[in-house]
Amino acid sequence: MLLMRPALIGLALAVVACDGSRPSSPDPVIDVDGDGFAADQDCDDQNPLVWQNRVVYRDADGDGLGAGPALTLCIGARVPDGYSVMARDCDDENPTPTHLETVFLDADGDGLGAGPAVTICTGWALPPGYAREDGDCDDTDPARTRSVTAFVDTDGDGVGAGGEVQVCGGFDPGQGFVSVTGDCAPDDPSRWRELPYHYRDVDHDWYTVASEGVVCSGAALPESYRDTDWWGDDCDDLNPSAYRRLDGYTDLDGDGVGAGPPVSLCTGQALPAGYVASGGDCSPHDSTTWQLLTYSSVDRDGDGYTRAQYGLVCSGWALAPPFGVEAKGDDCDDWNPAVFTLLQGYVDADGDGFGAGASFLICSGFSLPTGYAEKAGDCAPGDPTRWSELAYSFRDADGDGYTVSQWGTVCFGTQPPAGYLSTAGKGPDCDDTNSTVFRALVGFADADGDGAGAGSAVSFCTAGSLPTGYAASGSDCAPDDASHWLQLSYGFVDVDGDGFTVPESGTACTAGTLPDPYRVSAKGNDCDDTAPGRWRWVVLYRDADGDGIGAPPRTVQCLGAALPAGFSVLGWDTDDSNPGIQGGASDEELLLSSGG
Amino acid sequence: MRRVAWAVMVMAGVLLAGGAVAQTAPNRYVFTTVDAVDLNSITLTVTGVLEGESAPSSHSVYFVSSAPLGDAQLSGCERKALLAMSKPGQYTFSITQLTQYGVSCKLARVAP
Repeated sequence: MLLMRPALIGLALAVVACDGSRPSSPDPVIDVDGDGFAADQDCDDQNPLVWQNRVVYRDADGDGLGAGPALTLCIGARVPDGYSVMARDCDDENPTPTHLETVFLDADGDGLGAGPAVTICTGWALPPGYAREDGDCDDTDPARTRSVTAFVDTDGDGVGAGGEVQVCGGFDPGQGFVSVTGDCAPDDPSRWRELPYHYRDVDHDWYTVASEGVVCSGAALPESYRDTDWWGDDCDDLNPSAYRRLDGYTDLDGDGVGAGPPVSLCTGQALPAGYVASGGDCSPHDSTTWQLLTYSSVDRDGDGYTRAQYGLVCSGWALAPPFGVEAKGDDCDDWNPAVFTLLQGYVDADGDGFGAGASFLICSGFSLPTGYAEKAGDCAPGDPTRWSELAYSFRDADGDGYTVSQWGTVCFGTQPPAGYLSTAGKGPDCDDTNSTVFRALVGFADADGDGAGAGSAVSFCTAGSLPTGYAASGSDCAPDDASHWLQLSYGFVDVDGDGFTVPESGTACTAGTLPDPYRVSAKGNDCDDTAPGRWRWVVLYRDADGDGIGAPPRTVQCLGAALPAGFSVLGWDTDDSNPGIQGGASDEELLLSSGG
Repeated sequence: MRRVAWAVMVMAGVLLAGGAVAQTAPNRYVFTTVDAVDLNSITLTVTGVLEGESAPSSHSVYFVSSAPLGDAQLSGCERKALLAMSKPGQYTFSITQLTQYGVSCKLARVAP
């Protein structure tokens, strides 16, 4: 009925709308209450809310189901409250919809009943203790409701074994039974199925070895079986601490660097003890050295001074003494810490601080070693008390200040010895063994005591004077005459005593000076030494006319101071017979003529 | 011609001089008379009576004609010798061998 009303309303509207005027039907539809239902079809055309007659039942509890006798009511679109079109309510005082239903007792409340069927008034939900289905094989146990085919699950792992058995069960066969079979380990609850594996990990170190097969397992493969190789191949699957291969070197000395060829070792995270990852230990049995380091200096004696030397040496973390890379000096003896540098010196055998011989470069410390000296010139290499040498030219052995000429050198220590001089001192010493005599004198026997001796010369070493009876001069020309002693030479004589001499030489024994007529030097040239009135040669010219100018020929006459009458020393008179004529050109004329 | 005559006289003078002592110094000769003068390429030879002697003699000095002033000096010496020779007794003429080849000539008037 609810669906019909819109249809009618629709029909009326369609009639009006077709031509825009009232329907052209010849039979007009009466709908007094205007509810869309014609009066002949409306059970109450006065009430627009109702229009149909329906058979309904009283629904006192309002649960939608009625009870009691059927009633016809004029209603609208819906059934009025307190009525229902359904009449199956077996308890109209219970607002829950109820009805009579044949069910079974369900003592264990598992939804399946057992025993004979019973009819009860119930709602859509059965009351507790009833079930719509029967067949509960154990109505005392809600978990066991029906007979199921099961397998004995001895180990309780959910998978049984053996033949099928029928058991009263529920969703599962119950304790000790399962619905699946095939337990590969019936007595082991941790394993029940076979799983394929591709790897083994016997030692449980997560490293595997390839191995195909199946193994009785639980939820997953047992620990020693793997379907994937998570970590890789296990080189030793029996040792959990060894699972991968590493190349190692034998490290006998434990210094972290091995030696020898590399060895492939099955090990764990690290190489086993005694093996290391790096090789090349240059000293396999010494834990303090393992690598070759380059050195450029060596200090073997540890004195801090090095020698340049290059090479490789097996070392630890750094070069160890005596090897280094920094040079200091140039150690001349790197095996002796007391010496390290070359010093020039001389052999000093006597230890007096002065050496001898050629100079050497001596490997020394801060100073020359014992037995060597910086200074040379030890004149007595075997005598420590003497080292300096004095060159002397004179000796004064007797200490009298007079010396003898003697060249040489004398070796001394701190003070030069006396008696060795570089100068002649007071003079030559004729006897250097006697300090009371020193001067050599030559004497001649002076028998007459006139101070001049004669005879052979006699040498004396004296204190400065000849002994009595001897004279320094040996020229006594009259050894037995005290008044004459000196032989003098003369070159001229002036026999006539006029003061002019003539050449004549000889000697005369004198008392110190030449006696007359002997002279050492000439005076004039006495033209007649027998006549004191004549002493000179004069060139004279006859002056016959007495005008003072003579004329050749000349004569040379031995004269005194005066000229003889009728002669002149001038001789150019061209006319000696005429005193008025003297002739000769003037000096100027002569000079001019000679120059021309 | 005159030089030739002098040369003859020089030779004679040398011969006549003998061993007479006539010079006042080993290399100086004082002539009271000059009889001849001979001048050749390296030698000046004078002949005459040396002061204090009674006979003429010849004495020579040596020079180097190529030395500076050598020829002029010798020319002067020659004129002085000629002057002394022209007026006998008026002058003394002296020649001196100064060095090995140096010559000095001096003409001095005799005091009246």
